[in-house]
Amino acid sequence: MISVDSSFQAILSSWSFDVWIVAPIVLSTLLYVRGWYVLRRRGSQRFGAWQLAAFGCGMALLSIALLSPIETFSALMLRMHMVQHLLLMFLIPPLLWLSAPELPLLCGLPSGLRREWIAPLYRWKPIRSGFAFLTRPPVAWGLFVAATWIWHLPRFYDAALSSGTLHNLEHACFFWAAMLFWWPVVQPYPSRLNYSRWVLLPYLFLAAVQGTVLSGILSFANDVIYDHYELLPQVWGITAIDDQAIAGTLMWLFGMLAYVIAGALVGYKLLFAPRSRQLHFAVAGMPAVQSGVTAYGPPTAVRPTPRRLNRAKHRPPVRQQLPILSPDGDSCHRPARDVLNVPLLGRFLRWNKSRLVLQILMFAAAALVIVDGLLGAQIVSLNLAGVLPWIHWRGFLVLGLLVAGNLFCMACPFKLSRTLGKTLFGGRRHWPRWLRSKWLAVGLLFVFFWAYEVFSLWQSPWWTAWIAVGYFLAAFVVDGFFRGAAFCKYVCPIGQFNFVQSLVSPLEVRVRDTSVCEECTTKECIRGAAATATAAAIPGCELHLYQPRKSSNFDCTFCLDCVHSCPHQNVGILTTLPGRELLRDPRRSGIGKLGSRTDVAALVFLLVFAAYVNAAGMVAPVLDLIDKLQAEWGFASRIPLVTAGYLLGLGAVPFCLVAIASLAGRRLSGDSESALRIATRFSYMLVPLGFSMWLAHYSFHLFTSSGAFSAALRRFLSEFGWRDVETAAWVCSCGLETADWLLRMELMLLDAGLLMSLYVGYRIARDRYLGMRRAMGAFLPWAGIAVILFLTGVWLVFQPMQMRGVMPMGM
Amino acid sequence: MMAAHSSRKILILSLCSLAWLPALAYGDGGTARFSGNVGDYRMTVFTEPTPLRAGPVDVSVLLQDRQTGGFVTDAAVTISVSHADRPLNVNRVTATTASATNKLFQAASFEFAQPGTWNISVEVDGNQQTESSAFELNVAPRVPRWVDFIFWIGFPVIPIALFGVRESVRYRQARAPSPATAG
Ligand code: SF4
Ligand code: SF4
Repeated sequence: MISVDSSFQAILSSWSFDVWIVAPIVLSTLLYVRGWYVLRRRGSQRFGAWQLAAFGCGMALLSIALLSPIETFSALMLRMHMVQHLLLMFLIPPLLWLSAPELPLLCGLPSGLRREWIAPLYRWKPIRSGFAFLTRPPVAWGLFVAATWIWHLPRFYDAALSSGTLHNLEHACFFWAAMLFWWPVVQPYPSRLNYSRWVLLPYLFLAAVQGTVLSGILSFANDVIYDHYELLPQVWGITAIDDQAIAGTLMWLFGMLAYVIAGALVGYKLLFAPRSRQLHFAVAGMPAVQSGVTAYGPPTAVRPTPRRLNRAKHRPPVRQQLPILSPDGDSCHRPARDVLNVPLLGRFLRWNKSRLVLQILMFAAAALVIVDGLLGAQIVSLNLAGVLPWIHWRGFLVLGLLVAGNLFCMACPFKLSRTLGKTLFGGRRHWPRWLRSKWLAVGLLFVFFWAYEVFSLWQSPWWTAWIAVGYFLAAFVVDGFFRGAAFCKYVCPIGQFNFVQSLVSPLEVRVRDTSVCEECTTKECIRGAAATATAAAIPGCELHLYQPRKSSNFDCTFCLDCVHSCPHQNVGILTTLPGRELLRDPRRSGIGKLGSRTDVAALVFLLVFAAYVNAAGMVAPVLDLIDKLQAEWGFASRIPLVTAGYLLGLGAVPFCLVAIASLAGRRLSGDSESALRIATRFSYMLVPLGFSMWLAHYSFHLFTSSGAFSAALRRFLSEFGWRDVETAAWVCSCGLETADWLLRMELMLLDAGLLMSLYVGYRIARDRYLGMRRAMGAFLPWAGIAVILFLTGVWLVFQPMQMRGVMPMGM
Repeated sequence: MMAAHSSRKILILSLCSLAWLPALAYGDGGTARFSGNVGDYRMTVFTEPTPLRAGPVDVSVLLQDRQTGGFVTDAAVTISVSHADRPLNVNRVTATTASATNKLFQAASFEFAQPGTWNISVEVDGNQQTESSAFELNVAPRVPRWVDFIFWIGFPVIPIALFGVRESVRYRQARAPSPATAG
């Protein structure tokens, strides 16, 4: 047995962390604090420490009610459960209203979200009149009492105790009904009640009467009302019937206290507070809300007589808005941020050897892959060539693209062999005109995806090593003979993958101030900077991207030559809204208009559909189907079937879907443009969805098999004579069920991809066509493709996936 | 005082990290399935989820001293489960406080692969003696895995619906005459 002290300690440490509770609490607290700070900075005296403290206490009590041992033990003791409900209904809502949360929460939101999303909804009449209706004293009172009584019926109470979802629903009902109930009583700024405050006295009194009846029933019942507690053991020797009586008493005491204090304060205000303070609408430009209907206007010095008030009451609501919800009144817009200004990182990136350092590190990793792949043991899960490129590099590549853009291109080890080639052979020839497009890269990518599946490249360290060697050689030869960065721009499949996916990245190399470029006559960013007495020459952009006309990450290798060569330090790595570049189609330096580049559109389609085909090639049902067909049709090898699958998945199916969407959209929108041209423009809407599938797939392998690196490295070190391999039990994790959190993450990525794709498609259609009907006609067929791809992705992530390595036993 | 932009970063980071939190959910009571005296102990066994379905199941045990009603957490609790059709195929797991949210409980997680009747046996190894008790549970068929994730799959419907409302509101607001022009 344990002592009272240790059982007390056990109780104190029984906290739960339900994400559905933690997330809203954390989010609203951050929003409130941010908005409160912004309002204070603007000089509002309305929001002082008292409001901040009230909100903080409200949120702290909410956390205590829902996450602390009170929640954990509410299933064991009715009195604990009662304390929880009393906090949710009598203490937290008044505290939250006293903090006047409306303006700080609105102010705390990002300005785009506030202007684009909240403002229209905020001004929407059904929402305003709905809230006005719910906060009418009779309605708010009725809802509060109904919630209290209905959830205390044994059937519902017992159900809530045995189901987490119902329990949360019960709490939500109590909390929101109480929020509505306390709204007329507190009248949080900037709102104003349309009723006489005298109505609040019977309002509170009648609430107290019904509360007394309910607590009386609980306190004086002869039997245990809730079966759930009857089944439980006695805690600290208190029987279920006594527990129930204590809970009833708590309810009566606590409720009475709340009603009496509120009634006293309301009475005091009615009798003693200055009338002008009750009636003035707005202070310092801040608006007032009449019973939920916002009526904003300039500060008024007019003393409202009862007749004026009565007239105002029957006047339709003024069609105005909160200043912070109007574009003019919103001063929260901030300029883009520059990574080059981040303390240590910025300094490193501005250093002209930074890229070389990163490339040498990556070269060392590539060398390990080549040596181990060619000379090491050919055990895929224990060979560096089996795990480093196919698990770690690919996982970090997509994560890097997600958070920052073309980071791999910046650290690309092949740049070293490109430089060597240029040094040896001069690289003076022009890249053939007929190859100046992405078609070659499209072909190479197709061959790579096909070879990857047909020859199971990931299962062969030896082949993997030769691919790396081939890459170094190709970069050496191409750039040895041709000008600029021909390898990156026209050949490299990795580069093309990065260029397309980085269209949704949040960082971009671009000019800080366009007016500086307008004045600039030397244009070093594209021409290069000549050597000086103190500094070596810096080449201009090898990819022919002229900074002032550069738009998006497309074709940019993040080499930062433009950063170093610009004499005005006018180029930075700036933040951008992910996907923004997909919405617009300006003429881009070095690329032209993406909407007229069929080759780029083909590249996009290939990479989008390859994301699904590549993942499908690893899931059990598809592999089983291939085996079955191979056996049934009597093929000696799976090559014909896989080839047919690839031709279907990357050729026939995309072609049919795109053709149907394009032709249907053309017809529905009455567009006279060619179907090819329409398909080219709409292709970019699928980029986010394709990227989300790559991200879900590659990060799945990274998270499930990240430990494989350590095993492979130990084997490598041991085999090459450095150290003994520790004997560890390793198991293949093929076909394991995906952990719930990982599945959730994959689904979230796909959700985000779908939403972003649909938004981009909608915006493309709205920009292209006049009138909603035409725009929707063009958009819907493409939305259909996006939904089909999304559902395919969902199906794929639920399938057992063939793994890329090993995991320690027991993981 | 916190700068506005850093609070935005914190907000984004918090949201991202919250996505991982469900992984921290522990066994925490649920429905009481058995309560009775076992040797010197009063033992109550809870299972989660409710209703009980094939798939992952948490079994939690609350031990009390039979005489005093005080809580007991220092006894070793082992839970064994087996399907009634295959009684020899027993899965034995030691329950721990760390696996429970309520630290007075000792919990263990199981995978109930099949629906039907399952035999549960709880063995308590106290200072003096070992006691055990057994009971049966009826387990309903498993729901397909995707049903558990329906919120995550169907989530896009919410923003799409909101977007639709927002667009139609903006459209109507743009068409409505402003108070100045309305006369
Ligand atoms: S980025 Fe620099 S070098 Fe290029 S045009 Fe602008 S100011 Fe001139
Ligand atoms: S020089 Fe060209 S490729 Fe390099 S970072 Fe600048 S724009 Fe991108």
